[in-house]
Amino acid sequence: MESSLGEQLARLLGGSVVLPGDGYEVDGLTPQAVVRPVDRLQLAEILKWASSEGVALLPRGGGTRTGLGNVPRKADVVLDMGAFNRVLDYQPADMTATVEAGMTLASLQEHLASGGEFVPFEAAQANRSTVGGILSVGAGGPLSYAYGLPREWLIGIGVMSTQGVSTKAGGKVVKNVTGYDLNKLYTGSLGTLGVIVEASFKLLPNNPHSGMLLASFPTLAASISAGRKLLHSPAAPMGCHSVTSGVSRRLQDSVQAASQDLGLSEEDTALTFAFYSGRAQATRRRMEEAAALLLAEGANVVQRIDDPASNGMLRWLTDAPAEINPNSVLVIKVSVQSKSSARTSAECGEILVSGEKPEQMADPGFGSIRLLWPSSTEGAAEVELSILDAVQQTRQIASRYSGSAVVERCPLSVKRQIDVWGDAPDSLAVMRSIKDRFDPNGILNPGRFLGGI
Amino acid sequence: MDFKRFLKDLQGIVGAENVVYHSDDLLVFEYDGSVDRGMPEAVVFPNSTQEVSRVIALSHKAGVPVVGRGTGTGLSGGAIAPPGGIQVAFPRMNHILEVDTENRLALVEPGVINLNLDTHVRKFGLRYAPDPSSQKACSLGGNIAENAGGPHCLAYGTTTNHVLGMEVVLEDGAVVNLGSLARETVGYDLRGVFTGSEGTFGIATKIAVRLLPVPEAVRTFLGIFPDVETACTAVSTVIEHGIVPAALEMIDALTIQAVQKVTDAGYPDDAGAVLLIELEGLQDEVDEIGDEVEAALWETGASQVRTAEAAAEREQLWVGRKGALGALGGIAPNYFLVDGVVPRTQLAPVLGRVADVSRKYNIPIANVFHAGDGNLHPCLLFDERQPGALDRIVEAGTEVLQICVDAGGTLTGEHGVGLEKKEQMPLVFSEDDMAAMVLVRDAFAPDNSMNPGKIFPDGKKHTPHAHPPAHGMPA
Amino acid sequence: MVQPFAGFTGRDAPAESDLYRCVHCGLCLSSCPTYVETALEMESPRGRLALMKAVNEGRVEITPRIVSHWEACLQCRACEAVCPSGVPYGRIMERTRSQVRAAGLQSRELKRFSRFFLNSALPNPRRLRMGANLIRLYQRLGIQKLVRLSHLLYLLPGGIGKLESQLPPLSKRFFGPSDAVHPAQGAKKMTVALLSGCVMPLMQGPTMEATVRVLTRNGCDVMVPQGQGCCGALNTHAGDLENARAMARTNIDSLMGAGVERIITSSAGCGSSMKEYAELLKDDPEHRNKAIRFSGMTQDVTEFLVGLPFQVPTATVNRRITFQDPCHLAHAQRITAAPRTILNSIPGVELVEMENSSLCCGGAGIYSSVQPALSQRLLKRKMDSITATDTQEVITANPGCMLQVEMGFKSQGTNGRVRHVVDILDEAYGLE
Repeated sequence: MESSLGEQLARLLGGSVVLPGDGYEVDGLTPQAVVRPVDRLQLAEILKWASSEGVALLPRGGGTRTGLGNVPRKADVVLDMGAFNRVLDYQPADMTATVEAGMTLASLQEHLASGGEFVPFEAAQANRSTVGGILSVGAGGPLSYAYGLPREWLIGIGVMSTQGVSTKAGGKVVKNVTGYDLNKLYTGSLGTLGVIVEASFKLLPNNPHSGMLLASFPTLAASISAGRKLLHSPAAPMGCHSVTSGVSRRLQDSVQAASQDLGLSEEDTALTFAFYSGRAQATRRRMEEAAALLLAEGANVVQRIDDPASNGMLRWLTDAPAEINPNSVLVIKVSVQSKSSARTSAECGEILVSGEKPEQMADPGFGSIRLLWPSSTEGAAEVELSILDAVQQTRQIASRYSGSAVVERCPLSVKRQIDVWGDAPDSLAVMRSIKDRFDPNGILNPGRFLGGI
Repeated sequence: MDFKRFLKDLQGIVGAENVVYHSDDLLVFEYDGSVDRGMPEAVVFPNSTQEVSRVIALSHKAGVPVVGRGTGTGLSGGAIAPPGGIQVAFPRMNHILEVDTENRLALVEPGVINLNLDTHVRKFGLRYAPDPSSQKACSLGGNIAENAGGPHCLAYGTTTNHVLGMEVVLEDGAVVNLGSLARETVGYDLRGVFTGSEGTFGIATKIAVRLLPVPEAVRTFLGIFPDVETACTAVSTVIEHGIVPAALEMIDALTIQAVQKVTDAGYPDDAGAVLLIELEGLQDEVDEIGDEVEAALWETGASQVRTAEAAAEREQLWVGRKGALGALGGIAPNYFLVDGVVPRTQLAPVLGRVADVSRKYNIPIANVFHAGDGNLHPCLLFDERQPGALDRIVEAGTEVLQICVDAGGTLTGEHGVGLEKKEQMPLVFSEDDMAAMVLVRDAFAPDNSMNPGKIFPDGKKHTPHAHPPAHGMPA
Repeated sequence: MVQPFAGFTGRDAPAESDLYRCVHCGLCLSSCPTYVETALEMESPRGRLALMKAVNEGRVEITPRIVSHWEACLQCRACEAVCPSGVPYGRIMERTRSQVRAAGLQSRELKRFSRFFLNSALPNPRRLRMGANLIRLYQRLGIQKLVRLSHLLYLLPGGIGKLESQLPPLSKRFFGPSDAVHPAQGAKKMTVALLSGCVMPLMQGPTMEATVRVLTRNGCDVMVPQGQGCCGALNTHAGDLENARAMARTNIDSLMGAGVERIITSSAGCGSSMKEYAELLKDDPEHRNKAIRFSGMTQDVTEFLVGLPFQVPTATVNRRITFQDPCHLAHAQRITAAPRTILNSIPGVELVEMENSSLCCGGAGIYSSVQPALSQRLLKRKMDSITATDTQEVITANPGCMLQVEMGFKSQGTNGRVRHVVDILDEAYGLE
């Protein structure tokens, strides 16, 4: 090699935006450099260069989800979008905002709060997670039942193509069918089609009142079953979650306010979270009816938590997977038809890794269940087999309920043997064809997405 | 290609009774709800996904372009047959296959009528939220193609927010599933990008849609205002209260006059604008927010405010809005509806500039629109039988679109680009933007044989109502 | 034999101002019975109008295929009631049919029917009555030959020509015009003239009598003047506008006598037709103004009773019933509330609404005879809706619907019965 990628980049852009790749390891691969473009011009130069040189780029926002995806085929340069962090346009009266992709969710929400509004999705570590990163992953948070996924709120997008060409889709208006809805294509594409530069969202006005109910149940099954009933009642919450005792004990440790009288003593105890927001009177009525319903469904205790403590709980629940992940040997997110949540949870709950059952965080309204198997002291070889077997079993259960199972965390040795996204759907050929057309040189996150895309 | 042979093969697939090819009959398949026309070579009514797949594969092999047709209510020429093409229509595939109340979803065939689905699922306390004005007649397949909207999309989003998954047939006949019955799926969101692709990616043959619970209470407000500007202020005031109504609709003075000519909707003669607001939710919510809405309407200068909660009375308040477009027929025999969208705060100034266009071209323009989401519907009134009228209308319409784009808006909010607005696409999108879009189309339909000639400018002059030859082919 | 034909011609050509009101939005589709049944655009109001426009523009000739789509139309006018653009579809179709007729391009069935029935029997009440007498004779004696002679069969629901045994019985007593005035009971409120009509007095004589009783009971002097005849609706629908005009003039001259304040009919089809005499005779210098007055004075009996208002019966009729909206009441006259107001006023009556009550039963005047197949499919659909209500009695307000649904019950082999709104109101009054 004539010169290192870092040197080439430094020549291209000037040294100040290029850093060494140490500390940016992805799935065991250490990139040669980290480049942090300051404007579109530089970004375009980088992409053109990477395309012509066949350099693998890993776009990066806050770096909170870099573990997600298959082991990259190549990881040459990390593309840090942190400098793109401005609000480009915010019109509170229009209830829309356009921001750059590197802006963190926390600072976006803070900015929108000045107009009495918010963008209705959550992500773990909101003070690090960026708009671009959240869109690339496309996942929702604890209130997805009511608000859906980030895709529902994205109305316009600006993307730098792999050829270094600025493109846009959608616009700044809340209703738009002009041209193809590429917003949907880029959302959840894990940065494999282009680099998201800016995004426009439709917003909602802040809810004047919010609160939550925290209920303990003797078993997770009882908690999920009560949650389903609650979701189908007039007192339906914005989001409803059931977590196992292992998860709730962490809650008890970390949130003082919630630790009283929860009846968490029993080993199998599960917690139900039900989040409410809206107008005061209606929210009160919903919470009263919901509390009665939960008790009738066998809750040991139902505790009502008002704002701002309830918001703290929401944040905690949003962040919980990220906090628990490091202590887990295997984390799988299962998405199924919502009606199958209980059965999926029950069946997956029996899957053992090194003799241990998983902790669970279930959203029975949205139909997603996170399974977290605790770290083991067993020998690596046995654990590996056990994990591979658990992944296999989980996928069988998920597909039985028309769903999917994504491995969010596992040992690298296991990751190298599986597609973390699961079995390819019959539309994979179309997906591949899209990827080939958008990224003919395969420079963006090569190999990380479904089916090796 | 031997067309006779092709027809025979089509008949072999779907049965002779399900192929229309006589030139007399094809006359009724040359139009949709727009001002465009184009005669198909044949229309096929398949009975199953398998038949759709075989028909499309056969056409692909024969080099015959294919367009899906729902019920032909589209307003952008989306279902107009491309030259030399055939239509695949879905009157035989109109079954609601499953209503899953636990999962709150319905599995339907593309020919199911939007309102029929909603009516059916209401028996289970559920609803299908997207409600385009043509919901009595339009089909779900067409709704998917156009990403249809409607008054209640303000609160609930458009079709794309309600589609979970679908089975589609691609141009080579391949049957592929997009999305799933679960809310989250892996891989690219092909379901999302397929919705609103105006039939250029393929044809949906089975659709899973989300259903929502029917709200406990609904209250409708009708405010009479002296002029559109004041009514727009009222809209802003309501929104400033942190209220997102289920629907927020407006009609202007010219429309009010037209409505009152046909039916007494109870609007005073000197009314300058009528605002309709609908709230949905728990009774407590509707009560609390309702008081604020009513106060806001009075505060901003409404001369009258009427409210209703019972279904029949609410229906009465909606009469004028729902009959508005048709009532325009009493002023002029034709209207050209421009579907531009602007940021909500730009409504009043944009309407002012639209009025300038009306004066400049001496074309009456009536406004009936979704004020809540800034989706204008200026209706340019004309008589198509006057020579040159349509050309002037298209010119004036383009000017209106330019005004919308200048105000930060776009060409179409819910009707699609189709044939009608494809030459205006460069007002909003650069060559590069459109090239990226075409890449996606190429991935779905490499030979561009699904509904070709739509959405993207091709320099062919838009000639609505150009009469095709009387006899396309001997039959 | 068929002359090349370009465009519509003559004074009865569909008006362009009517035709081009249609902006082909498609909102009519779901209300059109033949479209609902076939799901074919050709069998929809929008499709039929498109074919008319194509002919009008000289793009096509009137071909037998095109005629077949026009003739498959029930003229129920459900589309007209829902059309946001106010397309006067009924009028356009009538004129289109007159063009087809003038060009001699009607289907064989319609031609045959026209020759015997529209041109001969209907315009001549005496001949009609003679035919009916023959049928009654048949029904009493079973002489099948006579039926074929009479051609009254054409009036009966489709397929029945082959099922003579299922022929609905004619009334024991025929109703008819006379010089007598049926005097109001109690304080007199109004003098009305009642249309006797063509078929109804022969097949539903008791309903006509009930109509008279109900009207007199509500303070009306009722005249059924001599000299009147068929309203002409069937001729108008078939495009036989000349005969229809003659019949309209006859009725105007005979019914609008001295002192008559309202002209009442218990047949929805006749009411719709008479309300449109003004349109039919708008080019008739002598009758134009009279026709306007006549149409203004015409009311359906249910509409009239509710407007009076009628006396609410006090006796109880304990019965579950369902109501079938006659097309020409619901769509052509836009009257749906009045019959229900009357039915709901009768103590003990439980009105169970059927699904799609205003979707045509397939009777549609002569339709059941000239389009038996489609007519039967629509009847089947209607009978399914009726069965779903689990009621034994169908109330309606039009003789054609009564015959058709009776026919439906017969072919089902069930014991349902069909009556007019005034029949059940009369029954309630009778129990007081």
